[in-house]
Amino acid sequence: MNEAGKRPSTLITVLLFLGALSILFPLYLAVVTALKTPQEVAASVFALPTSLRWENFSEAIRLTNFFTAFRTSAFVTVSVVLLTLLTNSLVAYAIARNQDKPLFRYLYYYFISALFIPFPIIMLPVVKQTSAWGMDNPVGLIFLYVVYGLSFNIFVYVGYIKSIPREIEEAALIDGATTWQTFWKIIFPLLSPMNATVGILTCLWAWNDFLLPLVIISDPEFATLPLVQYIFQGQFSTQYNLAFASYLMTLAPMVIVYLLAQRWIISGVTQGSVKG
Amino acid sequence: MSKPHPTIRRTFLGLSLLLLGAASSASAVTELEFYVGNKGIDTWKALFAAFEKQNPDIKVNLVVPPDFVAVLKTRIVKNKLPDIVAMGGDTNFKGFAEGGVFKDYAADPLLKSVKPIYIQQIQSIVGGKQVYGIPYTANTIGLIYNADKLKQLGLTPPKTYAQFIAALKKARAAGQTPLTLTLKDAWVTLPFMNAIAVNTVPATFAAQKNAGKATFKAAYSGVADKMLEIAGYAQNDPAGTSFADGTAAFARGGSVFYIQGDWALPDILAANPKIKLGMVPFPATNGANTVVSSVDLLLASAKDTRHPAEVDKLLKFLTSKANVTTYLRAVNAPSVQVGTVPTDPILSAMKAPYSSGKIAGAPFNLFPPGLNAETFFQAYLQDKNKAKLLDGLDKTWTDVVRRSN
Repeated sequence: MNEAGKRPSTLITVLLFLGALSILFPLYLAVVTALKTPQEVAASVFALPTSLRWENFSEAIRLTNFFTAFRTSAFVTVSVVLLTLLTNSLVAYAIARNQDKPLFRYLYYYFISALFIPFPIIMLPVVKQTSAWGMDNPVGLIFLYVVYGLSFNIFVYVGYIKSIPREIEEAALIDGATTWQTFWKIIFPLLSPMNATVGILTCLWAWNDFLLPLVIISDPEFATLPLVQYIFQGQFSTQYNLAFASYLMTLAPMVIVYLLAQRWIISGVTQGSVKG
Repeated sequence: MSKPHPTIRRTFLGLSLLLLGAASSASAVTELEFYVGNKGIDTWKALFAAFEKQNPDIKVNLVVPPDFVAVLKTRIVKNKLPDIVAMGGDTNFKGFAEGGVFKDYAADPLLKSVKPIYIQQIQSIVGGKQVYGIPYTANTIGLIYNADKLKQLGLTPPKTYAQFIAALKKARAAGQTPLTLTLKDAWVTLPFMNAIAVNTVPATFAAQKNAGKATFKAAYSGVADKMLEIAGYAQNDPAGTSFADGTAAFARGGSVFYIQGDWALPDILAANPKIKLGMVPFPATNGANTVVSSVDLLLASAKDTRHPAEVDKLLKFLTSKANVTTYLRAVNAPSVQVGTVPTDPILSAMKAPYSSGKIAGAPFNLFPPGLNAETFFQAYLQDKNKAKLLDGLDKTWTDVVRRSN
């Protein structure tokens, strides 16, 4: 596989090393701080702990009510990713294949224009409306994520669907497939590179988002993981050792998702890059 | 007709089942919602457990919301204000109280055990006779010192401004860092400013300013001068030091003095349990100094709560002498109750002003919300431009008041 005469450039190696360092160093701080006593954190942020304080993790679990919040976060994220992939691709398909009709063209620009509206502007009306409709709970949250994702997802799906030849669908039509079957059996599988992109972005967004759950969720029992992290921040100070232990536990599922889905994600992306 | 994809059907089925599950959690017990910032949580829990034992028909749900003020605002929008809110007697409280969401306790017997000075503070924050919250704990601002370092320098805790400056000079001459200042956090300038202003600016300043009869330019010039002189003795790079960093540095013996409120003490002791600390009234003038003590926590209740009788029962329980003492001991805060002085040995020098009544609320609490005075002082201690500070405050005050009228 080695290409003759091509050696790795020193400059690029140094840059890659620095890039890796900029990720590894904060990660080192997070892991080290999570295993220290408050006194050790105050004495030196960078030093290694004298003994490993695993109690930080159990204490963080107790304080945040970790497993309850984890269940809510997992429920919201999984539902949002599934519903987003299934519904947003459908909407995009309808729009992409009907762009010769004014209504669908208008709808396309209508959805895209939502990209330009900052969330804080619509925040209070959304809070009031969700509360009035009894949607200030995880189910309401899921609904909002699926709808808010529409603008960006339609943008990427429509662009991609346009590149899929119509002839494939025509062939399916001749074989007697309905529009519904054409979509699920032919188009949806072809969308996998886009599904990967949308799935990953949606997953990270729904898992990490703070503001929307903060204003929507009324019942503390339904708090998501980002919300419960606040417990370590007092009025003026933060319990860094417990906070970092908790942050590590919160980010772990996303790392695991990535490790498990890595092969699929990369193959999905490369599949999209090679036309054939 | 083709059927929906099985995955979709399963997802919707799951969602509807969850909805059904969430809807079926009603019970006969009255539930009260109690909102509190992140302080003394375990003590609240213990107090509520005792209350629920006495009143089996009432359940108190303790809620510690992330971003307290933002969440409270959304609850007002939703028209679902918590039954009881425990918050500071600060500008945020001013906003909520003026919005008319809290019950007026002016005629309530629960206020009888509270020192009048704290009741007046709550009244003057809103500017009327109404008392929209029951003061529960107070805070106190002073000059914190490292007792060992002071002893090494052969000094006693300063009582006057002249003694304070002399002590700072002596510490510097001895090669010590005289003072820790944490200007990366703008709010830190407020206790600093309050401690001086309460002694040198008339208490009527805010009212006169609103009437157009006073200016920062005239009243706060001396405060600005003193702040700048004292700040000259701070460690290197105060603008790059946050409260958390500065507190840890002071705890490690980084400096002799630290200008903060009692709320910094638990953090200092957490970082270094062995440090010997003391606190004295802030030596702002060469006479007897008044100590800033504001309502740190007050209990306000929603005006239109659905359970007024239960709320009263809980407030009565919480404000009983025994329970107040339990809470104060846990959070190490001064009491607002009549006839009490700070009991923490670190605060022993603060007893005298409390028993003689030389305490007053923070001048800042009477500033209009939205003035953001802290950012002006933060900038001032870096660019040292007094004219910019005072003119800026005068102008912004007028703008903010005009905007809110």
